[in-house]
Amino acid sequence: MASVEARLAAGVIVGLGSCRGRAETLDQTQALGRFLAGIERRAFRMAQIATGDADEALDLVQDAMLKLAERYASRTEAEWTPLFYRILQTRILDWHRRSKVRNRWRVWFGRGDAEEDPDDPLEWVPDQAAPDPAKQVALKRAAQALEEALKKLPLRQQQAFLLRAWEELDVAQTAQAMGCSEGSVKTHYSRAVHTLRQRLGDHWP
Amino acid sequence: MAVRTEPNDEAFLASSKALLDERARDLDADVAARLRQARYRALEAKPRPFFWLLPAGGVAAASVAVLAVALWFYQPGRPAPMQGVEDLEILSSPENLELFDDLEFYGWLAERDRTG
Repeated sequence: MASVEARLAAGVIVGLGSCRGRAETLDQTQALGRFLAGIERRAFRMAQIATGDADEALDLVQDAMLKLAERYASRTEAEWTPLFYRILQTRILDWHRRSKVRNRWRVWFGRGDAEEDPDDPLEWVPDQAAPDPAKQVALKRAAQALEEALKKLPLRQQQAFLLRAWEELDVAQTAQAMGCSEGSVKTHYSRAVHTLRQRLGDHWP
Repeated sequence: MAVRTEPNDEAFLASSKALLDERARDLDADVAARLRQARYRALEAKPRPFFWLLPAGGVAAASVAVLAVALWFYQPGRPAPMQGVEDLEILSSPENLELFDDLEFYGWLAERDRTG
């Protein structure tokens, strides 16, 4: 009788442990899902600004998501943001290097596209006196103007600006995400803000 | 460790953030769906713990528990049931108990007589 009870008790203990393990894993998966859902759109826009191409941006974001889930899912939630952006920014840098090589070959074989001069962002900055019904359109244009201005920034300045000003990472987290020193982050960020303000002017919504 | 910003920068940065947020919300349905699929694929790729080991571990743990309980209740010095019956016969017999106490002595005497 005693052995039956002991057997039952052991079974219950093992069963409870198993259930708890499954529940923790489910919680972690749900937390990771929430994290990715909250960050994916901004990550996509960042990658799109950096590459200028929606498909490339999607590929880069998907790679970053996969790597985070495969290798860092067990880390704490607080670590996911800098880790995710570290992966994404590394992917973007790699993409830029590959693009440079491709462009060099295109130029070498005389197939390089002429540098397009995108529209002056200032043309898109909304008129402050615009009537209310047009406000949404004006804001959209201002956002596009900002994106165009961001695309013209050197990549490292662009990354520093987006991570600091948009994602609101602190200097240390930004340095971790960019794989550079905190001093470099400050320099890139300061130059980015200065350049953007110059390009977009004071006519800002 | 804050980066120094000019007063006007604060307003500029706040506007920039608001505009970029708007752009992120304003994704077309196709891109949003592809991002969702990418997220699901990433979650599926997340390493799973080795749950298949748990049943085997459970059997092993249960076996150890059963063995521990068996050892706990096993008493090597415990008299066999038949030995208890013999004791009962001795206790209930009308003979003098002292005889049984000195049984070893009488046995020694008998042995001595036989050899001596």
